Amino acid sequence: MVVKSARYSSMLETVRFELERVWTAPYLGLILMLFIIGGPGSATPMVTQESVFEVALSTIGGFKSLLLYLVTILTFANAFGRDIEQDVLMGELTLPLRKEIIFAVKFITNFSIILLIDFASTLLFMWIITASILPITVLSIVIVDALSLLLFASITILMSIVLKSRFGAVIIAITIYFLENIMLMNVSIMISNVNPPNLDPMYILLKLILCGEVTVYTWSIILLHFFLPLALLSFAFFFMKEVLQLD
Amino acid sequence: MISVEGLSKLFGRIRALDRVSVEIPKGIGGLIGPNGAGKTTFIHILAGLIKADSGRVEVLGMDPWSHRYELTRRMGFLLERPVFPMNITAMRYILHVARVKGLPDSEAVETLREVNLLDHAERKISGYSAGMKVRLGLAKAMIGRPELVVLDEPTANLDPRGRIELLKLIKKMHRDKDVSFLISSHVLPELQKVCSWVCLMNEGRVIEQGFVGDLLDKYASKTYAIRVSKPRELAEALNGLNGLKVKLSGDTVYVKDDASIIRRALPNLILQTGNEIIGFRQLGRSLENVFINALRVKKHGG
Repeated sequence: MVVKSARYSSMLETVRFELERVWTAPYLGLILMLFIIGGPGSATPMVTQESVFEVALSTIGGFKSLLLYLVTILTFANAFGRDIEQDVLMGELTLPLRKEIIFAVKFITNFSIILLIDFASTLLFMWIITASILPITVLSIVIVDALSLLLFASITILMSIVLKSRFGAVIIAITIYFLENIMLMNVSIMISNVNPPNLDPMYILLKLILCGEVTVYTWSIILLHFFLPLALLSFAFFFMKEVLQLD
Repeated sequence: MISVEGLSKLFGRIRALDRVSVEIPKGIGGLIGPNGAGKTTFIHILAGLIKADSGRVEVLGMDPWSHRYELTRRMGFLLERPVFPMNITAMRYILHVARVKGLPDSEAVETLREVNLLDHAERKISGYSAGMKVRLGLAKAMIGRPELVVLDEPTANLDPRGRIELLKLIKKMHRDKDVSFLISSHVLPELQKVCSWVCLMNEGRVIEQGFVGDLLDKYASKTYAIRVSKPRELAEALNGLNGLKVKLSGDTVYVKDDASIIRRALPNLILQTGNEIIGFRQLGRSLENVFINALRVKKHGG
């Protein structure tokens, strides 16, 4: 019982410390500012682009998607790759912290913060543009973002651990991002005639799902974005626990 | 405390450790060797950070790779070039270490006081000098009274005063709290001051190990330097003894022979010649000499 409570409190402390260490006020402020600049895009998928204003918002919003991916990739490359490169992880492992706790804390803390920012910015711009908030819509957007970000988070984590390099991890994750975007764009064009070129393909998929146009393509992409990241994360965790050696 | 048998580790083609076998007792132990001797790799294996390719390692009765978590509850580590999160204060960092180890916050304050960092505890670590970072690393390693603390090149970034303070602190911790230490360094005079036991390494191999006194006796030169008030008279008296090689240089008489003859005969000779002893030392009674001679013996077999 004593051991259990000690472990629980050390996990909570690790979460708190990770938050304090990484998500400092200036860093968080900068990311929020960038999201506010690119924010309109988080609402536009739900808007039919008829007015010049909406088209403008949608164009600005194109940055939001890219920004979200970049923030995710950089965050996880720092959390894992930089910590391995700069021997921070080595220092953490000389403390009584289990590898599974370190892995879970780094992943959950950083991913939750990114999704929280995404949720806040989506909520804000949904309200600005439509003058109303539809919780189910906001939630759908954040879920779609979470699914697509999960893939890149898992790629970045795996590459950071395997290559022991944040630079290598970022390069690989960004490359896969562009390749995937091209693939999704093609799939979207194949299955839909409502494809504004400046919208993220993932949103088009969401739109299709909400419209009830769930085809084999949409399902395969959703499954790919759910099971592949889980497999990659499992492998990354196994690699960190059993294979990774720090010297 | 630490038992290692036939330990080997390869990094690609480089053999970092080659069939290392060593038994490290309680107390203050030293790991001696030049850069590239394999000391850091050895310490990383003890910390469970890397896995040995072959051989058996036991630290406090456990295998460090599979029992890293349990061991880190009972041990402290200061790795070479310690890295800390830069944008937080030293107090917050040590509080984190204390909480992770399940210790009360007061332990963090006490440990920072012990390493003389309490006055700077609210400063961000990014503003710390190299010496302060080492002391912070030491605080991290020593918090919570561990059974064993492993320090990898702890004096590397310290000025002479910082080195003296650190060695004093290590002695104090050992004396007052019964903490055992394993210190890796290539600055041998420092280790000679604090260690009771040493292991000498070179090119991934152990060339000698044992208690410092025993090794000094084994490898020190058999020449003694005796500084006296009337050196000429003493030299003549010593020349009269069988088998001694005596040399006079300034106010010092150098005598080469078995230590027991000199020690037995010297007091009487000093009295007979009406001398006063100014100084007496055995030449080469240092870990540097032990290392050089042990290496020579290992390479040439005698």
